[in-house]
Amino acid sequence: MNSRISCCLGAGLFVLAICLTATPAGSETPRHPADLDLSPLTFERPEPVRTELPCGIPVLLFENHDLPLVTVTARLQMGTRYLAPDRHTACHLLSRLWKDGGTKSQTPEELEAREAALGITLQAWVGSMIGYVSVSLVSQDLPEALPLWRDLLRRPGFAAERLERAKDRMLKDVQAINDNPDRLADLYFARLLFGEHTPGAHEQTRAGIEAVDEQEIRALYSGFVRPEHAVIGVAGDFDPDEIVAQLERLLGDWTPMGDPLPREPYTWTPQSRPGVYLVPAEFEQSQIRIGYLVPEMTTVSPDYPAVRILEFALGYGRVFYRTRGDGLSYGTGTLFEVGEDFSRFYGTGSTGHEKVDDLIAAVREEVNGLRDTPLSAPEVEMSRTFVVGTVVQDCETAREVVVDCIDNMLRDRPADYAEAHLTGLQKTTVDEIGALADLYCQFGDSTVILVIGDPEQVSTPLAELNLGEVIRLDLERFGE
Amino acid sequence: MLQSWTGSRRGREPGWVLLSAGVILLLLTATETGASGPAIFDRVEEYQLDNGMQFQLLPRPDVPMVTGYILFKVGNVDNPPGQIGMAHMFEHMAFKGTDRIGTRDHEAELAIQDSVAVVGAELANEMGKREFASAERVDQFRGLLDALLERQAEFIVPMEWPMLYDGYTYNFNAYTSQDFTVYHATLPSNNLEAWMLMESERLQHPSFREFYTERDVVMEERREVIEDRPQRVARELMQALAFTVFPYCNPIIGYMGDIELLTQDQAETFYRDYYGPANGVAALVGDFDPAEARRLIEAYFGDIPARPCRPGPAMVEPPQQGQRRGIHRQGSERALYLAFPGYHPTDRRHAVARLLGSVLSRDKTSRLDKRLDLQEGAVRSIWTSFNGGFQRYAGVFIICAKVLEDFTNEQVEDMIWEELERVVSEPVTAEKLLEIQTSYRKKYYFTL
Repeated sequence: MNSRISCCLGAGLFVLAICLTATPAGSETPRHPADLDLSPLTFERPEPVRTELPCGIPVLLFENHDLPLVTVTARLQMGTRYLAPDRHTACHLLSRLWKDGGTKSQTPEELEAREAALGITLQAWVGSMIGYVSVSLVSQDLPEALPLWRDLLRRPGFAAERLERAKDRMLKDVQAINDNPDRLADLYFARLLFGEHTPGAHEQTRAGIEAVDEQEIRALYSGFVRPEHAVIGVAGDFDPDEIVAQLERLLGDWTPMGDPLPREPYTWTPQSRPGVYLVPAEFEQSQIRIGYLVPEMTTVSPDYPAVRILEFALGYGRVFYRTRGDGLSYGTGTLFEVGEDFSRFYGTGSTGHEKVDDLIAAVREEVNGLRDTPLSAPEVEMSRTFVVGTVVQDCETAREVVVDCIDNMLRDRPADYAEAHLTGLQKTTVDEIGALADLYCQFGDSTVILVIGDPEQVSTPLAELNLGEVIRLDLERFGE
Repeated sequence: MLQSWTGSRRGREPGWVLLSAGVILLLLTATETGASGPAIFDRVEEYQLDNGMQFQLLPRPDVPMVTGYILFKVGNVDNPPGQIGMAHMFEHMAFKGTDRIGTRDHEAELAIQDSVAVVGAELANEMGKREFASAERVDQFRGLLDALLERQAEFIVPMEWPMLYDGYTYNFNAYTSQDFTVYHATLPSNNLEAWMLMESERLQHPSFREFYTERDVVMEERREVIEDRPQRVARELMQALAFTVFPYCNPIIGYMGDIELLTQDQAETFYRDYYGPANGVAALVGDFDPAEARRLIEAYFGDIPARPCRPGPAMVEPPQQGQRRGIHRQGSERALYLAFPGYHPTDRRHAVARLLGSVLSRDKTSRLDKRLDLQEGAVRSIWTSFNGGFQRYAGVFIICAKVLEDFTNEQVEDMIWEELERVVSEPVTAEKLLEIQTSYRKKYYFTL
């Protein structure tokens, strides 16, 4: 071969080789996540160190020195779950007044000034099952902050003028419900599902709020807040030996006052009133609730992990996406609200008055349609990623790890509850979720449907759904 | 009943009281306490791609989780004239998929989508004539549009993009503010590449399918989060009074009359004008290897072509010449808003005014809380916001009080003015200022 031709051929081959190998970087980059080869997630749930003060109070410790922050929390088994409904208002006022009322050694103003001067955050709160007193601070302030926290825990002041303020604010909060269609719907729905004066449906009245006095609040406090009911948690940047010694100094001589309140749950039976209800109201949108009780489901039921996966896949994956995709609503979904004693399954959302029937029909179709079109494996996996993710996220900070562990203890859950729950989430199968959907997801005779909206626009379409007679309820004014 | 107004009382120049107070605080802060930032910031790695997109990486391997944020320098303030709410509308469109995700046949879909754009624009144009619109033409265009959307729906896989993203993340969402739009997600650390892929794909190849259905969703959103909330409607009124020309006068979501006229082709133009890579800053925090993250960033974002983005708004808000007042009647609770002209975020007085806000209302030891809440019992709550929510340009300083039934709005307004004047006549002490500054520093740690 002619040497010149050879050279040209060689050069040409070389250029061709370059063209074949120097592909643009982007052309090798996947464009769909299904083309990715992702490794599985490994996650081990962190556990705090458990110890006990010499006086017997359990303490959970979780160190993290990444930032100079500490949270110290005293958590107790207490709240409205252990009280008859006529004592709930007093319990809510205890929650408001506990921090706001100062301590026996400092007036509310002095305590607030001290808190501001140190740059710490003191909190006290009482819920349905758990109450707590916490302090969050920069670790250098521990020596000065802990005595304030101890005083708030053991010697609250419940200043009289702050009690009056708390009652006034509570009444205003109740009255604010009248302007909030979302809260109105929740309140009416709870009444229809549980009954008029049961937990979840009980609202504070003016007379009920005004009737509460300081003695009643103090009685609740001393009945619930006792060293034998407390678990202490410390999270963040601290020295374990030092903090235990400090806690023993502050709490070692803590003796209970008065008689303890029983910590058995108040027993009650929901009085559900299935049917279709319309509450006339002048808002821009209609509020919709549709659901029923699921009495056999609790947070310690073996099916609970699977129900969580079912809940997300159905409520978000199907109902939310369907109603959103149809342009019906900004945020409609279904959920299982699983409690310690009972549960409910319901749909919640809002839409323009003229679309109420379409929204209700869409939600019913998605839920009742599970029997014909069960959740698929991809849907279950999507949901599993999310739900497991909530467990991972709950461990993001030291404080969350400690609080989660303590709250499991206070809810009388088995020692391995968290681990078993995570395992349940990870191992639940598609078939198991399908079986639960068949068992729990069906709008039928026990369903309550509530619409708060413009009767002129809503009445006829609601009736045309043929779900039952539409019963009108009066729109009440709360707190007046 | 709600009231909102801007400016000063009794004929004083607008901002007089605040300017005086600000000068005093400026003098007090002249001695710098000299504290340094948290050591965690020393671990942040910053770098920029050739196309201008910036990244900040902070490894924190506490739990196997990563949070990704991408912020675009585009917000309510950048809405084109006549397209109030477009920045927010586009944020919604960013979840509609791409040329590969959300479609059964993208080419077939595109052919119809082009027709949808034309008819949608014609419909909006006709509807925009309002009382002069031809009802016949509106019905005709609407019918055409509905027919096209029905045909297009055959090629669409509804909600495929968000459902797919759900499978790789713990949660994801986005929000539009006055000045920025942020897309964020939290995900298991093993799925970092999926985040890179999904975010880069929607940045490069967004789809505008289902624009008109999503516009309906935004209208429902407005009804739900604004129109049924008296306080939020009042806030809109306050901003409309405080700004007459500058786009901060408009609500982020737009008014209903604006939203219903937004069109698909306007959204496409908006995307081209503002979503270039140089307009974006991304942050990754969590459990990842920085070297691997950089490799993925280059692979997925490095080839996005650079393109210029439109500058910010050219309007200039004229100086306020006198007090403005507005009343909005809705609901049963009374609230009062006072707003004063703010400072540009780069102006040192902006930081001073922020401290002034804490002097006035931070906790129960603050002046407004102490006087109006604890001593007088005149308000259910009171708060201040000094340029909060306005991050690129001068905003407003807001004082908001929820008035209790035994007091009139005028009485509460008088008390507020008295306290504002007291900041001048009885300046904050150096000790109190130091306490506020120290508290800011300490509480900042908790946001990390």
